[in-house]
Amino acid sequence: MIEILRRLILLAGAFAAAWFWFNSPATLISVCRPDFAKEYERKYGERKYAFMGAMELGREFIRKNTDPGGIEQFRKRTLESRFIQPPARDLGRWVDEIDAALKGQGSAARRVAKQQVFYLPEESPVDLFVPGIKKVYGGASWLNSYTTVAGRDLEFWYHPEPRDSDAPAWMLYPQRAQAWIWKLAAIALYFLLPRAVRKQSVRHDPIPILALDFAGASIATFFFALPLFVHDSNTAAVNDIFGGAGISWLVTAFVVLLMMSNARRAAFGVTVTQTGLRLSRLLGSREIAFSQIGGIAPIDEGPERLGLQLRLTTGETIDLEWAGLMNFAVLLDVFSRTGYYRAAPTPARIDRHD
Amino acid sequence: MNVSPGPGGLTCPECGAASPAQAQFCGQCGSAFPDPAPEHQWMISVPMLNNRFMLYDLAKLLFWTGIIIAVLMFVMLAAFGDRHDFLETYLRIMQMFGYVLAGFAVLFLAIMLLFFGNRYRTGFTIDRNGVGWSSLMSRTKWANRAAVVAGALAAKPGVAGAGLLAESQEQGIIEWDEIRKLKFYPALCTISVMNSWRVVIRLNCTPENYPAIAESLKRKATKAAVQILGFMLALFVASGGAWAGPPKPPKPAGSGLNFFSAEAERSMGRRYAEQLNSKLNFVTDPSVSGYVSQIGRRLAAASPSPSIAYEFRVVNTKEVNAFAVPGGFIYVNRGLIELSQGEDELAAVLAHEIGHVAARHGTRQLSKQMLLQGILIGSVAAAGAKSKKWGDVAAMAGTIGTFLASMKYSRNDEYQADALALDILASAGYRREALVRFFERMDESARRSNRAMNFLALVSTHPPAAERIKRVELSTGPVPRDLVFAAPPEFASAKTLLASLPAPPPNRDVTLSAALRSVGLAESRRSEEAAVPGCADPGPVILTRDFTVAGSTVWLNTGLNVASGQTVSIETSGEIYLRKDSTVPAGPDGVPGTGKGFWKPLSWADTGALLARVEAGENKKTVLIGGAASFCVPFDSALALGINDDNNFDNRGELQVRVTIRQRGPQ
Repeated sequence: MIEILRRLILLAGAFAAAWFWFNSPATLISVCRPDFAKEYERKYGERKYAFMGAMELGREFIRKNTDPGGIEQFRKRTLESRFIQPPARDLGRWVDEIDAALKGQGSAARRVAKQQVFYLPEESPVDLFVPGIKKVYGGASWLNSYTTVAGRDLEFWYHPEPRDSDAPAWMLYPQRAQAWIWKLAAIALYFLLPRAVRKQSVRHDPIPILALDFAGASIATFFFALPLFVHDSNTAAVNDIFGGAGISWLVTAFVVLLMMSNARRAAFGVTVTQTGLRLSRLLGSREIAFSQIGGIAPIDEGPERLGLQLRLTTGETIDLEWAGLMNFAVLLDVFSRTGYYRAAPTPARIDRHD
Repeated sequence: MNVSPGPGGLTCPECGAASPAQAQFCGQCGSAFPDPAPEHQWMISVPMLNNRFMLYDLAKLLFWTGIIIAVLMFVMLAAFGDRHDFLETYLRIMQMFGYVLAGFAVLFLAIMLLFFGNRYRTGFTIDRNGVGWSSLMSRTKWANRAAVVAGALAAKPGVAGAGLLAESQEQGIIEWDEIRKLKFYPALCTISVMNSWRVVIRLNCTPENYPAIAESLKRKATKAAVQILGFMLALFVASGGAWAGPPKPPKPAGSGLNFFSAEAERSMGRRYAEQLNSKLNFVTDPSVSGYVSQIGRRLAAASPSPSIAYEFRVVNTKEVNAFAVPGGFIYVNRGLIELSQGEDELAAVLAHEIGHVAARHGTRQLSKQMLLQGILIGSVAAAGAKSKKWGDVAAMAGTIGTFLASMKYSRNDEYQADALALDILASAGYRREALVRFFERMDESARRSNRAMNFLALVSTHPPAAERIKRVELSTGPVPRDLVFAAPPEFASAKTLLASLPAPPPNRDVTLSAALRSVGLAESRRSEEAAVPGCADPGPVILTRDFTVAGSTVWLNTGLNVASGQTVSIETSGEIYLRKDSTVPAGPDGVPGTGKGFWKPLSWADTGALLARVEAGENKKTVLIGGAASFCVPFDSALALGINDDNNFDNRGELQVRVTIRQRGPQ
């Protein structure tokens, strides 16, 4: 069992690491101070390109033949359509904090990226505006909306796909530091857990087992993490369990099963004791006294010899195939010395005579 | 065909001849033996996902693919990409490729699991040819063929090629002589079989057959390795390897490159000896010269060249030196005899000089230099044909190379002469340890006289004493410092006589070194720079002229043209300083004890000494003048004066020089 546990711990650590690595909030809100004058100029200002295409020429024609009004009119017009009623609380200090952060000052400065201050939707006082923001987004798919607090205009941006936003990494992936801890802890436990089989035993080569465990864990983690990477959030990936994510996780399960077969190899061992043999397997070990062995015969498949078969006095047979096993010569030596078996060039059986 | 094994191997069914067990063909009639039953043959199903080697190979494949992509992308982006956001773009692309590779990894694992059912069945064979394998997975074979057909139908050569490649790997063999390394994993019952650079196959054994297969592989691979080694050894021996087979006789002394015959060498040596003899003062008392000749003859008889008519002379000078002129003319200074303690030590020095003569080092050295000069001239001409600059570079490189090469040969010559001396001493009945003791004594003497013999060991023709001692002691074993050699009455009386003999007057004390330089027989690099002796009969003065030579002068053209046979006498006074901030002046003789420095006009002469040079086209002769000297002009030329320094530009002071030219006969 210890070998199964070892691999489960390794996989759990790797999966946890992947989960925390990609874990990101489902949505983000960013706040900034709108610059209506600049936006007005961008929309209605004179086109000064040396060469203009049909679209630009069209816009220029409309500009010259319509009256967009002034900047104030533009502001009013904009706020009218996407305005969120501010709460009754005094939020002047919060707006001051935003202004300071945009200048690189104050505790909120670390939230700033690309002239926007990022917040989680549940953070106060942004949470007060979230219903309004979602309403604007739900009504006309506008990602941005406006409010006026303490006589100052604020622009909200709704980020339903935060990984595509410019949010600072610590807000986007807040648990990445934990990912490393999980990963390293799992690897440490993998090596620290006691081995099921001792070095001197007849056992499978530990080097390929180790290599395959880590290759298997890498492949399993890759297929486990693929949906987390593809979707906008881990929650979205989980919601896709009957879609692509589910298929990817099926592959993960298959690789995990292969790793369990590796666990079976790692747990297998035959140890020679004073009185007989100790046969270690995945689910435990079993003592076989020499007196229980009725005979030993080679296992032959055509001209190829695959190993030895132990025939117990109870009629039970135990196959010991030597492919991939180390130190099998120890067993041959014991069987030879005890008179159970002598290597023969052709398939032969030597039964116990006493 | 029935093959019956003989007692030690196989019996040929065609002719009945016996052959070794591993033979593939009959040594008598050439008939091929059929392949015997393989030593081991088995099949096994191995788990794929639970196989560390398969996972390792997969990881390696993905890793190197990633590395290659990373490098290619880097190069392509660096060459064609936008420099502005290079890193960002590169990382983005690599991230994408990372995902692709991870996808491939998953795909491979899925194929192993779903397509192969996590089992791979293979058959292996070990026989006399090597290790063979064969895929027994029919679905693999079908998949490979399907890939080939699909690739061909879809006009996708990559797919078809991959299929063909996989098909070619369905079975194979690595032969015994290709196996370079085996890696055993007994706990996993697996053996990696490698060639020189990679794992070719991993043998998955059963716990039952693993020990036997491992043993068999070890045995056969070792045998194959021994066979390869033997083959390589045989090749080496055939190609003249020095360490294989019976030891070759040592090269006779004197063998090697030499453009001079023994007669020519003797004739040349005699000419030089005559010149030297005219310069030197000798100790003629037979109790000294006769005694030295007696030791010399005893040694010569034991030398590798006993037929050479050796001549031994004792030079009356306190300088500790000895020299051998090619052809067997050996000179020993009185100072050297006085320094030696016992006949064995004196014999050791003479044996060393005899070694030089026997090995014909003089003419061999000359021959090598001629060869190097020839190569150098050819190289410079070839390089100069391309451009002047390259010609200059080649000339400079060649000059330095020739110099260093000749120095190397000289040092080796010294070592060889030492080695020969050891043999000669032993054959003549002297103690070989005397050579070591004498080196030590010379070293001590040099230290006492504050002359660093070990200095500039690299460019010195004589290797450092310590190194020579070390080499000689390899033959003799350690020689105790207090070892004393026998001093027979003749030796004692010779030393007594030398001690009572007055020192030669200063104007007649011509050291062996100076005489050798004067005849151009000192080290070859000095030959063109050696002092030229004055003319036998200088005649009356025909011209006297005064000059001022500044210390910073490299060469001052006097404007005087001198003719062959004229005698030029130069007297110098004044002081120069060899550095701008120096307060210690140097006289016209230069700074004593600074006779070294490769870049000086006369590398062996003291720094700051006055030099004279006669030059006519390619013919040049540089003469050490110092305070006063005369020389006979060897050819019609222009006379120049200079300071012997490698960096004249920071010198101060000046020398006043009076040049007097004498000529016999009417002007």
